Amino acid sequence: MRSCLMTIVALAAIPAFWLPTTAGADELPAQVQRIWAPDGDQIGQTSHATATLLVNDVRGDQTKAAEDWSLLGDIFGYGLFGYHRLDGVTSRRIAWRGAGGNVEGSGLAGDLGFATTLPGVYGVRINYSAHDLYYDRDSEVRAADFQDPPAPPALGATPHLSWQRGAFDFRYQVADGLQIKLGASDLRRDGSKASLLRGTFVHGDSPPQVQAVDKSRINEFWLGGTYSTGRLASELRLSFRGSDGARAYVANDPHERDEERKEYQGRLAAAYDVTPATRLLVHGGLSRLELLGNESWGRQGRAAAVDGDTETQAGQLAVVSRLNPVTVLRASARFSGQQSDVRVDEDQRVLYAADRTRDRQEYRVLVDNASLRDTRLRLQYRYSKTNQENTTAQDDRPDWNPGDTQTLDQEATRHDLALTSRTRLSRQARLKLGVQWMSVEVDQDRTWDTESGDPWYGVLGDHKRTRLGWDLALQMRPRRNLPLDIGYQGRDQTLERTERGGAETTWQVNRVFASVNWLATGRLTVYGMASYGKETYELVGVEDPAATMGAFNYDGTTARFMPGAVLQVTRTLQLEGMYEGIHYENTGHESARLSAVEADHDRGLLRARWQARPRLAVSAAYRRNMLDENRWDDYIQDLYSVSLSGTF
Amino acid sequence: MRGYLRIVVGSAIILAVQAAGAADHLGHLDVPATATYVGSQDCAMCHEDIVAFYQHSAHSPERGLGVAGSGVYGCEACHGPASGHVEGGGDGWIVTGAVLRGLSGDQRAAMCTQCHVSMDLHYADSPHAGTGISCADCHGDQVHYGSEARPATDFRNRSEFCLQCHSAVVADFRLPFRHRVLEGHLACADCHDHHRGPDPAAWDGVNQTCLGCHPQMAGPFVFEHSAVSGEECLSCHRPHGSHHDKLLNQDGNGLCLQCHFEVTFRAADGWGDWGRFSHEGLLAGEARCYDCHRDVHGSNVSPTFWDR
Repeated sequence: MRSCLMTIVALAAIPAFWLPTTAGADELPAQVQRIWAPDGDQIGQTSHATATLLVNDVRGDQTKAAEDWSLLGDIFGYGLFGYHRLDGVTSRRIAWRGAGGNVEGSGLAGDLGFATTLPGVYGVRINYSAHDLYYDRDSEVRAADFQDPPAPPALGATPHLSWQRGAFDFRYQVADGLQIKLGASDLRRDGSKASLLRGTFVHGDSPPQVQAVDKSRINEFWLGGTYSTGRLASELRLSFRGSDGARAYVANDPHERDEERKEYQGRLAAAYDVTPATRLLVHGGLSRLELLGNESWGRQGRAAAVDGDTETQAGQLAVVSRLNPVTVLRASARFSGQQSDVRVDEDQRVLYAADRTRDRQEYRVLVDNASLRDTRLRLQYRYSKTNQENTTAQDDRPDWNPGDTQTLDQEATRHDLALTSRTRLSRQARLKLGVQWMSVEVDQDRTWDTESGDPWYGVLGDHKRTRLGWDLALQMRPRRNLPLDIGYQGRDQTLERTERGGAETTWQVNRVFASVNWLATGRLTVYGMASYGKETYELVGVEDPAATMGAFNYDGTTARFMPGAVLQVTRTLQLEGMYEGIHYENTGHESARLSAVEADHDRGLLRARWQARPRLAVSAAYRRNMLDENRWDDYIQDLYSVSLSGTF
Repeated sequence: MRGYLRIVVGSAIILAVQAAGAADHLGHLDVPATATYVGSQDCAMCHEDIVAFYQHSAHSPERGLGVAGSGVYGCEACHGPASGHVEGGGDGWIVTGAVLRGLSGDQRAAMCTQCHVSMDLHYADSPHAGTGISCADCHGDQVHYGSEARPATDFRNRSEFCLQCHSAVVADFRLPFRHRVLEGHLACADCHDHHRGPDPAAWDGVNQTCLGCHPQMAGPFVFEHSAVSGEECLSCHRPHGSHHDKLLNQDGNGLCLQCHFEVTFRAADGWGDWGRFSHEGLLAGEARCYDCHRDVHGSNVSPTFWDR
C-alpha cells in the first residue's frame, strides 16, 4: 500500500513540468472512471439493453460480503436498459430507464424510471426502486476476547431488510408565469437489521443479541406552484407526510414500538426586484407534527401510550444586492420557533410528560467580490442565538420518586465565519482556498424538584465547541488530455466543558487527495485516484484510562489508491482493468488488549467488451472483492459475469 | 414568534401588491436606450442553426415563451432588445455569447431564473451561488457556454451527474458502510438540493434532510438527546460513508465521550453525572455505551435512553 502511495505522489508531481500547454482550467475537474457501473450501462440518450449472467463465489464470511455488496446467493440474472424517444412533431420526450435482477429472499430488486416532457407545457417523472440490505451476523465492535481466531458467536440467520420506494411528480405550465406542481412518494421497509449487534450486559465474548425489526412506511403528498409577474416571483408548497409502522429490538430486552406520525407543512416564498440590482426575498413556513404511539419494554413487560406534537414556525427576510459590478451582498434575518408537548401514559396515568419551547434568531451577511484580477472572494458571517426552555415531569412511576420535575434553560450562541477564494493562476491551473471558523457556546441552567434532592438526570452543563477548517484544491490541466486535481482538507475541533475545568476533547482531521484522468492516446486512457486521511479524537486533561479499559481515543488512518486503464485494442475490442486498495487502521486504543484495528479492502476489475455487430456487443468481466482484517470478517468474493448488450 | 410570522406574511402581501410593471431583467447590462424588441422571427432569419438546435426544447422560438409580465418573448428574453443588431446587419448591440461569458455565474443564472422562478427564489442560498458556475454548467447548454458537463438527463444513475465535478466524494462512497449512491439506490439529490441551501422555512434544514427518511428520530421525545435536537446528526454520523457500522464517526466509546467525558471516569466517579453506579466494570469488559443506552436518539421511557 505504501509503495502504491509513493507511486501516486510521483505521478502527481510529474505534470508540474508540463504546465506550459494549451488546455484551460475552466473545464471540468478530473473525472473518475465508472468503476461501480454494471456491464452495459451507458451514459447518453441512446436506447440500449443489456442482459447479464452473474456468478457469485464467496469464501470466508459470506454474510459480511453480502452486507458490503448487497449480494447473497450464487447465481444472478441482471439486466439494464434505457429507452428514449423524441417526437419530431410535438417535441414530446419519453424516457424509460431501469436496472435490476433477482435477489435472494425477496425475488427481484432494482430501479425503474419513467419520464416524459412536452417542453414548456408539462413534465412527469415516476420512479420505483426495490432493494435489499443484508447484515453481518456477528459484532463489528471490537472486544478483547474476539481476536482472530476464533470468530465470535454469530446469529443463526442472515438479517435481511428489504425496502421499496416510489415517487411521482408532475408539473404543468398553466400560463406564462404560472406553473403548478404536485407529487407523491412512498417508502416502505420490512425486515430485520443487526447493526452493532450488542445488548445490555452483552459484551466481551457473549453472543450478539440485539437484532431490530423495522416494518414501516412513509408517504408524502404535496401540491404547489410558482407564480411570477413583473418584478414579483413566488412559490407555494403544501404537503402532508405520514409515517407509521412497527420497530423493535427483539432479543435480550425487547422494546417494541408502534408509531404513527402525521406532519402537515405549508411554505411560501416570494422575491421582489426592488431595483435591477436589488432583490428582496421572503420565506415563511409552518408545520405541525403529530405522534401517536404505543411502546412496550423491559423484562416486566411494561406498556405505555405516547401522545406528542411539535409545531414549528420559521420566516426569513433576505436581500440580494449587486453593490457594484464586482460586489454582491446577501443579507438575511431568520426567525424560527418550535414547541413540543409529549405525554406518556401507563395504566391510565401519566408516566412522563415534557413541554419544550425553542426560539432561534439567525442573521447572515455574505459578500462576493471579484475586484482582484482572476480571483473571486467570498466572505460570510452568520450569527445565531437559540433559546430553549424544557420542563420534564414524572407524575408517577412505581419504582422511582413520583412527582419529580426538572427544568432546563439553555442558550446557545453560534458564530460562523468563512472566507473562500477561487483564483485562476494560469490558463492551466485554478486554485480554490477556503477557511471556516465556527464557535458554539452553550449556557445551561437547570433546576430540579426531586424527592431525593439530586438532579433527575444529567446534562453537559456549560460547554463550548470551536472548529477551524481549511480546504485547498488545485485543478490543473497540464495538457488538454490530462486533467489533474489535488487537494487538502483539514479540520480542528475542540470541545470544552466549563464545569470540567481543564478537560476537553479534540478532533483533528487531515486529508489529501489526487485525481487524474489521462487520455494518453486515442486508444488508451489511464486514470487514478488516491487519498490519504488521518483522523484523531483525543481526551485531553483527563486521567488515562485503566489498562483494562479500551475504546476511548480514536486515531484512524485511511489510505485509498485506485489506478486503472481502458484500452481500445482494436476497433471492436476494448479491455478495462482497475485495482482499488483501501487500507484502514485505528491505533487510538493503545491501552486496549487489541491495540490496533487494521483492515484492507482490495478490489479489482477486468473487463473485456467485444463489439460483435454494430448494434450488438458481448462483455465478460471478472471482479474480486477482498476484506482482510485483524478481526474475523475476512472474505474473498469472486464475481464472474457474461453480458449481451444491444442498442436500438 | 407569531409576531415574526406576521412580519413575514405582511411583507409578502406588500410585495404582491407592489408587483406591477415589467421587470428590467437586463438591468446589469448597458442596454442602449434606443434598443427595442423585434421578435424571434427576425432572429430566425439569420440564425437557422440555433433555431434548429432549440427546436425540441422549451426554448424553441416557435413556442414564444416569454418572461412573465415583461412582454418579452423568445430569443430576446436572454439576448435583450435586438433592434440595433438587426438593423446593423448583425453588428449592432445584443447580448452575445461573449457578453454572457463575461458575466458572473450569478448574472448568467439570472438570465435563466427570470423564467425558472422556483430556482430564482432559493438559488441565493444554494452552495452553487457565487461560485462562478451557472445553470448551463450543469444543464449543458453548450451553445451558450461551451460547458463539457453531460446534462443530468444523460444518466441512468442520477448521482453520476454530480460526480462529474464532485469526484472526491467517490472515495467516501467506496467505504464499507455507506449510503448506496454509486449503486443507484439513492441519489445525491435525495439529500442535497443543488438549487437551494438548507430550507429557510424549516426549524433545522440540515437535520430535516435526514429525518425525511428516518422520521423515527424526529420524536418528539420526552427525553431527547441534545445532539439530535440541538446540534446535528453529523455530530455522530458520516452520511456519505464510514468504516464503522451505522455510519458512525468512530467505533469506540470515544464517540460518546466527545461530549460526555468526565475528569475521572474510573470507579471513583460513581454517583456523578455518569449515573447512579460506577461504569468501570462495564468499560473494562469492552462494553460500548450504546450497548445499554440503546435509544440514543431519544426515549419516552428512560431519561438515560436505557430500556429497562
